[in-house]
Formats: sequence, C-alpha cells, structure tokens
Amino acid sequence: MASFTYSIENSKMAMWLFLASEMFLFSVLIIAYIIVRYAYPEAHAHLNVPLTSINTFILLLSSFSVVWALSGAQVGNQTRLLRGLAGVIGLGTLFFLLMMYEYSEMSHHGITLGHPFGMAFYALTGLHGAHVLIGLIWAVYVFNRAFNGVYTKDNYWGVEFWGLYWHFVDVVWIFIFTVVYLL
Amino acid sequence: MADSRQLTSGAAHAEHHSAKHATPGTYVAVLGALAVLTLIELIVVYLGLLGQILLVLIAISKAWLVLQFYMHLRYERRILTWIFLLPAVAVGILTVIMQFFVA
Repeated sequence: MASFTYSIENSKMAMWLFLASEMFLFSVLIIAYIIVRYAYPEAHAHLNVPLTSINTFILLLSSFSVVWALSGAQVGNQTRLLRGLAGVIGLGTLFFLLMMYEYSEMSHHGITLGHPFGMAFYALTGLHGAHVLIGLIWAVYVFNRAFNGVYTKDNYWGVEFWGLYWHFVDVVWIFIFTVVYLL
Repeated sequence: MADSRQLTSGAAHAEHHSAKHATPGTYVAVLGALAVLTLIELIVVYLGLLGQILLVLIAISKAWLVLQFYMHLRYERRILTWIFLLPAVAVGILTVIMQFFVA
C-alpha cells in the first residue's frame, strides 16, 4: 500500500516541478517586459487599467471558486463541486473575453506585435492568456467527469491537480497586473 | 483498476492529513484579503502614494496568500515551496548579473 501512497505524492511533486518550469518561463518574460517598458513610456499610457482591474477581481474570484469546488469534492458535496467548477468556467471565459477586448483596443492605438513594446506586452500577457485557455479546456474536462460522478471524497486528485494549475495562472496574473499595469 | 487503487489509497493517505487543510472559512477570508490588497494597490496608484516598492510588496503578499492557502503549500512538505521559489530566485540572480554587462 505504501507504494501507492508514494505514487500520488510523486504525482504532486511532478506537478510542482512542472509549475516551477512555468515559473522560469514567466519570470524571464516579466524581466524582458520591464526592460522594454521603460524604453517606451508613451505606449504604456495606452493600457486600460480600469478594465484590467475588473479582470483581476474576476480571476481572484475564480481562484476562490476552485477551492470552493475542491472543498466540496473533499466532503463528497457534489452540488458544491459542480457549482464551483461552473463558476470557474464562467469567470475564466469572462476574463478571456475581456482580455481579447483589451487587445483589440490596444491594436487600435497602434500597439501591435510589430511595435517593440507590443512584442514584450503580447508575449507576456498572450502566454498567460493561452494558459487561461488551457485551464478552461481542462476545467470543462474536469466538470464533465464531476458531472458523471467520477470524483468522490476519497478520490478528488483530478480536481486538485487542475486547481493547482489554475491557481498558478492566478499567481502569475497577480505579478503581471502589478508589473505591467500598475508600475 | 490499478490506477483507481492508487488514487484511493493515496487519498486515504491525504485524508490522514486533511485535518490540517484549510477550511471553507479560511478560503473566504483569503479571498477578502486578496480583494482588499488589490484595492489598496489601486488606491496607491491613483493617489500617487509611496510607489513601486510598496506595490511589489503587496503583489508578493497576494501571491504568497494564494500559494499558502489556495495551493495548500502551507500544509505540504517544505521541499515543494523551495522547488517553486527556485526559478524566481535564479532569474533574479541572472538579472542582477546581467546589469554588469549593460552599458
């Protein structure tokens, strides 16, 4: 039995190693953005801080929805699990749509991929957006499995591992919001 | 079958530790703290107060709250925290070294 326990512990370790590798990627892009950003202060003025602030609250709320769903799974509360997951899917989709709106606004102001500031901005926020999209697809998969009763109070690792990924996306956004939009 | 046996026994192991896990009340409190810290950030920016170091410190605090309570690092083996922090520290060191090669 001990080896089965180690198996799940190893899976968790693998998940954190994966998140650490992601951390490398985002840290480098954040540093690259900081270097480019101070060369183009006029481009920075086009960022929509009020809209992004709303998006920040949306993502924080989605992270709460994840732990709410997980706490439901841990006590075998199927309704709380499904509502939490549906909340994440709804909030995550809203975040993604508002991000797309922000991008269209930025491109109207001439901040495109061809612009040096745009390159640093889109590389960082675009990669984050791609992570949100992957997290959403994963969330739909988890929701489907939850709906079919796969998760129980003794087996909720599928929810927990996806949750770690979603929270990581939130942690990265916390730094992007501060570094890109507020500083 | 082997897969489900793994998951079940692993969960039983975690169940042993679940008493140490955060409660729904903790999750609500952390959400409140995250919202308040974000509002403070916005107030700092719009009123042009203390500035950049404070904003970075608030961002680190928010990330720390998510990592500790939502990602349960507080209740996990310490090695997972170090694994996660190592890349940020490494990139920080590389950035400092890079300064010596910039005119």
